[in-house]
Amino acid sequence: MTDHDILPPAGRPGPNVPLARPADRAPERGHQPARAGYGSPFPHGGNGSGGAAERSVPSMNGTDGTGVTDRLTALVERVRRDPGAVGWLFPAVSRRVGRGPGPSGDPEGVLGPTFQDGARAAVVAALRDTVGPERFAEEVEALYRFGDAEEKRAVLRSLPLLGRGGDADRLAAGLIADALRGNDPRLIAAALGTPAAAALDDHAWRHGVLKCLFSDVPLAAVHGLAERADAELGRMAAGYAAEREAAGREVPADARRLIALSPHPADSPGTDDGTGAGPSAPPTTGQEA
Amino acid sequence: MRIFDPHVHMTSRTTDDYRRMYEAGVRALVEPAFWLGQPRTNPGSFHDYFDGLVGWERFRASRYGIRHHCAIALNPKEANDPRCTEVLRTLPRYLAKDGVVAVGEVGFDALTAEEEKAFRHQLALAAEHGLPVLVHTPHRDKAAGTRRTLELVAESGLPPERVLVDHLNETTVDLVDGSGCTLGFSIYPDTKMDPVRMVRILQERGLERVVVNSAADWGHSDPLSTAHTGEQMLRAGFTEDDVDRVLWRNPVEFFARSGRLLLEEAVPDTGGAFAGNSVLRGRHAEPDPPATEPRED
Ligand SMILES: [Zn+2]
Repeated sequence: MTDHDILPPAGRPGPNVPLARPADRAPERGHQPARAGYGSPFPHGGNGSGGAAERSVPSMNGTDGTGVTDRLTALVERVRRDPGAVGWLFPAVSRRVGRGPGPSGDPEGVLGPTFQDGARAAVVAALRDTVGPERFAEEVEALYRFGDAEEKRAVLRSLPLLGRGGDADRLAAGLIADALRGNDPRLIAAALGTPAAAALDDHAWRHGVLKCLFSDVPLAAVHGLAERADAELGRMAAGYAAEREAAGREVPADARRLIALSPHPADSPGTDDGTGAGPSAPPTTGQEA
Repeated sequence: MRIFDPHVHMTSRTTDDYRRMYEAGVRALVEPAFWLGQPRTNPGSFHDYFDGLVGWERFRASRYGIRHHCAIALNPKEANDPRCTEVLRTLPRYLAKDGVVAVGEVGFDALTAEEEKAFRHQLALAAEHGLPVLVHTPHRDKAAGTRRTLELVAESGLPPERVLVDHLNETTVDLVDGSGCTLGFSIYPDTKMDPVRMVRILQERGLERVVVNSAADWGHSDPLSTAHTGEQMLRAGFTEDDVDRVLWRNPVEFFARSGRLLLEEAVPDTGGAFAGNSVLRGRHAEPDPPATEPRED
């Protein structure tokens, strides 16, 4: 996956994106009382190392007249100049740049990155280009650790920016596992909806996929499902279906698809390609598992 | 009746409460960070709690049709424990988040020097982040604690309309009224206000700058006490529009000063003279919070 896949398409915020905050508005001035002396809020104060990176962000090309691109450009430049500020700039991305569905059309970000996920990925990319690899990894971990659900989802969607290999894989697998321990469908979907989920071992990945059936996450959200589904996953899905039937409950279509998708010892795999049988509705009122 | 409960600790409540609150008209709320009943012993314990306020609790509320916002702070009681005060260093990460509409609850519990230091520090954070402040007034020595609170607010330079002084009663209402701060009343069995006394205060003082909350938590409390107060207002001759003002427009107006309310698709407008929407458009410019280097803009 290239950066381009996870960064917002140029000038495509969609008509629903509220322009949260005009970038040219003056910040509030006036009262700046002295702090009582608890020290700097962030471990990495501004180090003035920004501004060196020349690498352009794909989504920055061109303007669309809405100002969204300009605001994102300004934000990315700000992070390049002052990477230590990312801890409070990252949470504020939606207010500063905008929010709305991404190319998937899903405003909850279950079926694909939202517009603000893409904008946050641009911030993460700027950070990567500005600080050393060790500090980049630390900061990505902190952005996730201190993120709300929107921010955590954006970090998960940005994981391919870490690259591959030992340390990157360990960090990605750790964050994905954390998301899969929770019950928020947006995070479960983002955890499995990224190529970075390749870092997850098979056991954890299968449990994540099965958890989708319990969490209102359509399997269409899972990246590379057809390629990775194996007989063990099919066995687990069949067990789930049997349990539902025994209880007199309906077996969801996604469960049947999972069974069909996994290679059976007895017959050939089903014809479903696992990319989703039509538009699945984003989760609405599913209950606690 | 549409209700915005500006102070309720949903972390301590059940999904049945969410259902009953929705049925009673609650469509939005603010959950301020507070004490959990069991003292915390380290900053990580606060971080997990804050994560719940901006994460799981917001999600849980949304499943019951209620917009969940929160206020983030180190509470007065735990400001006295040196093992906990380190959390003040990470507050800015949380204060930058969407849906975080105030710094709170801050204020006094036992009126100690440590409490005052944390209170001052967090008033300064509110100024830096352009956020309103939700102030808890103490159970013990309430009038003295409220007086000292108003002195610190005045010293902070924060505009009084951005400060909500909460848990008021008959003995503290005049004191706070004179300061220009927003007046909060908790309708909470046994220890705070009840609907009948609340209506008496509204009759005597008027509706302006008054918000009413349930402050429901893990104690003997009632998340529907806002609705009960609305009903009591109607019985006493107030109009539907008066009720809407106290239970919806006043708290929306107060927290809209954060520019962070998440009400866009929420809530039917009851058609009163005042549309909730117009408040949302009145967002103030968002400041660049704690600069890690001199600001360039
Ligand atoms: Zn409280």
